[in-house]
Amino acid sequence: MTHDWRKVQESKLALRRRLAALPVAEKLRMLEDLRERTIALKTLKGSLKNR
Amino acid sequence: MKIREALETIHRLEADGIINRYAIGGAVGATFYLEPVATLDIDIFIALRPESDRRMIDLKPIYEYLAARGGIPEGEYMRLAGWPVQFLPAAGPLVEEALEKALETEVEGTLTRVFSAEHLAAIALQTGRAKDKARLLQFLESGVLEMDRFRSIVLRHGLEEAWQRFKLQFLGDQS
Repeated sequence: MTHDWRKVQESKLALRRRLAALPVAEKLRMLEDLRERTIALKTLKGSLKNR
Repeated sequence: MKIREALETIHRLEADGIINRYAIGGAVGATFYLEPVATLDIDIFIALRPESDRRMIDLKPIYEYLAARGGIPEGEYMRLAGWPVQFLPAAGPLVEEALEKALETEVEGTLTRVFSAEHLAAIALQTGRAKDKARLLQFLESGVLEMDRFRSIVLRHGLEEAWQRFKLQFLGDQS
């Protein structure tokens, strides 16, 4: 398996542009999901630290 | 959508005369133009009243108004519809201008106001933390910035040196 790093970068940029072009309401919904995941991860990290 | 509820309540603060003028900044503001990036809070910039201290805002009337509408004070934040909201004074010429030029928009029928993409990018350049630099790169790569407008903000607010350093560090460009 080979990686063309330039293509990987291009496809990531294309994905980001597609996401950026979504309607604001949809992006804000995604922001809420991201926030919930961030909080869940922080809680998990906290509980691992306390072990 | 909870964030829409929070934005609606914030807009009512202005409509009911509790604050002069507000606009969304930070990561939530950037989401109006870019792909969403995780954030924990909403930054709301508020115009200072002319007679007020240049660095401080009196949060009491805001907190009282919001508490009566279900807001929960948490330290420097007010929790609205589950979102911690931080009210920040529009202190300094760049943020004052960003607030003055902020754009009205609608989210599913809710009116709100957000900094322009060019002002958000210039504020990121001025603030200069790692996450701000990452945001500025996002703005540049996304192609959403009107570069002439961005450059004129950079010039007007004495950010040319910071912009040259940023370009050299991240864009490999001294022009």
